[in-house]
Amino acid sequence: MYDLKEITDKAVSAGVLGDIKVIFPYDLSLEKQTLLCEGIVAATDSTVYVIENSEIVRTFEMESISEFELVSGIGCIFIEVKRNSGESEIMCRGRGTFANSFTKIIGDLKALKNGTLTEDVHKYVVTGNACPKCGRPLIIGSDTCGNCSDKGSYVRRILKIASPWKWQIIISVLLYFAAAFSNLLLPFLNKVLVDDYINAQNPVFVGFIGVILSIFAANVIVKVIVVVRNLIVVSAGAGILVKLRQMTFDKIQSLSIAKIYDKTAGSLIHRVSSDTEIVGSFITADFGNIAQTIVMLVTVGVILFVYDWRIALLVLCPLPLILILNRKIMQFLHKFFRLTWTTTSKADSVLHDTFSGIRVVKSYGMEQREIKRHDDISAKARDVSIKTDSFSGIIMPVMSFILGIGEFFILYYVGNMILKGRMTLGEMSQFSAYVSLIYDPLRWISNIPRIISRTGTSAAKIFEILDEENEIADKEDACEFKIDGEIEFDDVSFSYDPASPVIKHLSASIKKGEMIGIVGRSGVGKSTLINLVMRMYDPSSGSVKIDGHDLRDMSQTCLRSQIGVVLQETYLFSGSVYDNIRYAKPDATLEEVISASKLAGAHKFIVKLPDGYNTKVGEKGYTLSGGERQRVSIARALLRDPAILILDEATSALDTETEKEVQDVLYELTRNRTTLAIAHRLSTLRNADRILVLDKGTLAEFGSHNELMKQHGIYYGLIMAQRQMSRISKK
Amino acid sequence: MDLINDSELIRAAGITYLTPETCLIKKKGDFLSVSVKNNSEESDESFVSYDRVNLHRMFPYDSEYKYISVLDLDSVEIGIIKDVSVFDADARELIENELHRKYYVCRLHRIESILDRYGYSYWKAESSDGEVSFTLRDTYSSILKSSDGEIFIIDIDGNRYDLPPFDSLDKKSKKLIDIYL
Repeated sequence: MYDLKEITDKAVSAGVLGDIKVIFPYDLSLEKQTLLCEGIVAATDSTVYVIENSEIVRTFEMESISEFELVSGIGCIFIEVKRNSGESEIMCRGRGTFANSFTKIIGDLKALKNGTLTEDVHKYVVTGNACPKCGRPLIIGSDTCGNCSDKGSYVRRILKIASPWKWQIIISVLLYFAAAFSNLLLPFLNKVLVDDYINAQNPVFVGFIGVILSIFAANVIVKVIVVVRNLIVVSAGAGILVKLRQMTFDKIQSLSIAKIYDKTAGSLIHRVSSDTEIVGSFITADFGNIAQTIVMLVTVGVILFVYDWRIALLVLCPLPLILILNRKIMQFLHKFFRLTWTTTSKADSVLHDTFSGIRVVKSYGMEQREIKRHDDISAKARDVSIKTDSFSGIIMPVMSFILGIGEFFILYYVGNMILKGRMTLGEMSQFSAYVSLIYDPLRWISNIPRIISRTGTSAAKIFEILDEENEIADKEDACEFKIDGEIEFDDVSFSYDPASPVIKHLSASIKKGEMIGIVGRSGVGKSTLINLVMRMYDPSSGSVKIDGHDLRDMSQTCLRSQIGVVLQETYLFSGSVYDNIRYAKPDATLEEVISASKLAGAHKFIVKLPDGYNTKVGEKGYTLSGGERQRVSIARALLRDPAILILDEATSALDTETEKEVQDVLYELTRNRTTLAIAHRLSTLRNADRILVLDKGTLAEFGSHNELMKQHGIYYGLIMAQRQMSRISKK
Repeated sequence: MDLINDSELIRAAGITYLTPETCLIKKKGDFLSVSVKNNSEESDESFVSYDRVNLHRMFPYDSEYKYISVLDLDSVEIGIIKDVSVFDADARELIENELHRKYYVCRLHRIESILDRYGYSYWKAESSDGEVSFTLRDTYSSILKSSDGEIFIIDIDGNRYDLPPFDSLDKKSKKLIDIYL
């Protein structure tokens, strides 16, 4: 944590002159590369001072600076200064923790240089991201410390989600109590039966029958309560589970692609399926069980203490030992469970790797190596499992025995009382039953920490998704309109990582109905550019406009419903060919689907399939060839009759003949439709009106094929290289 | 076609290895500059100079000063330094300093505590820079082991830490870290 006043005072005492406008700390020395230091950068209108360990080590005249740049190292981050002369110098260096702050700081330094830094906004920028309570680092993008987070708030939020079922939950908890109290009645009736009738001198037969019937009735009442409670729990539980799953799934669907890519598919599936189930089961079952256990413990405890405090103490004497042992055992078991989880995960990964890459394994004859790899990890999993299970197998009966020690004391005590005539047989029976009733919850109570910990973990995982801020959300007044197809990039910059911008200050205008080819080397930002048009991401600065409207002001549904996309990787969902085409427009008529297929050149092979449009494709379905899949994908895009068509290497996976056929189809479709097409094989862009050439994230060239060929620039070079390649391959 | 043998493979790859005989390493301002002996017949210059180069460890977990890729500002590889130790003391110091500036790895001596909470794991450790605390999102993928057993940790902010091989750790650190390895 950095104190703003303290670093300002240090900067002034080091000799900084003038009114400090931007000040921030850094922590890695420029002079001694391996050391942490106490560094401060203080900027005034005219000068940037770099102070290290109370001494000014560098100064930069603001006038001599042309640019501030963020440069990433490994485990650290730099701010570099570019001089007007073109030379670069390092200004400061910080650990990875400083990455986000440095990004904001660069914005402020630029604003200060350009004279646009407003006094009331970010006069000072201070980094340091730690929990004020425990000092542990905070998770980036989160103000909640996982260590200090209020677990109570999770419970409140879970209960709020379950509020539509509050009556079912209240009734089920009351029924838990009712079952507990009915159970308490039975030992009393048993005592009456033994003392007043079985062991009595002159028992009244009618009373005897009455007591038997009462025991029968109490048992029936308990069972009825349990059945009713189960029915309520099942219905409420299913409702809550579905609601939690819907909320989590809906939220994931609404998140930006960047947020989704941030997590693995497995972890998202786990949250939607397992974590919701754990939380749902806590609300409906565990919550009631915990309540019932506590009620049972308190009630029976009070009864025992009222009856005879000495017996009650005997019953409870092993409890502290049990609780201490339980805590120790849980810590020990946690280690074994974690080891089991890790080894089984590794074994699963080996299986996944081997089966996914089975062609590679077979091609290289590596079956024996894979068998050994699997055997080794399985053996490790077996060893860990034997250790865990053996430990549980030994320790659990021992724990149970220790807990039962109290029963031996009670047996001795109660037997002694009976022998001395101070206790009746009925009282002994009643007492033994109460002891049993208190031992069951005592045994179960050891599960409570595990249940709460497991539920807390799952709840945190769910709320992590539910609380995720969606940076690509629609504005409240987002507009909707029919797209004409004019696209404008207005000084667009974009970066996934602040230190490595992918698109830099790109400006270009695309007219309605134009076909634009986007070319450039791999990793130059071509796909990023079309992702910006589809608003998968928002630009870091500048804007993308369609028909003059900033995409951030448009409804995303409106935007995407008017864009058709054909990607290199065609994904067919499990279902029929018809379902897959209709995916783009669920309300499409049969005629529309057939027309789109016909235009895409898919109809002719679909009608030859055994089940025509009903043929199942996708996982476990009919295997379509690459060209056929691509045509289905084109048909899907066309069904929307999109105003803007995006083709991202749409034909690169096809053989030359099929590519030609698909290209011809696409040519027909791109006429009078704004089209953005990415292609490495430049011949596929022969129909493009203009070519946009990207180089290192900037717009290097933009013009028609003929214009660019005359320029003898990057495009010319690419065309010549490909012609040369084609000549070599023909030879 | 006959199977290509190793030496043919290496020859075919045409890798440029930078040695004291083929390159000159100097400091220019804050950065390293390299002059490489020119083998091209197209140019009369005996050396090709690069004003600013980036150094990149090719096997960062296995070797600190071997197999260093030397890249120009467009990330095009100029050549590979197979072993820094073959250079003279001055050049070696320049290379090592540049690597230390680009790679910041905090050296841990012992682990003080590890706390797993809600999918994150909070670590406190003693390092050459004093006590450090950091957070891991996923211990399974954030902890790596080098071929000689050294342990590498990457935290949620991208900070890097290294820890001596498991066997040379103290008892407490071993006990704490054992389940994550």
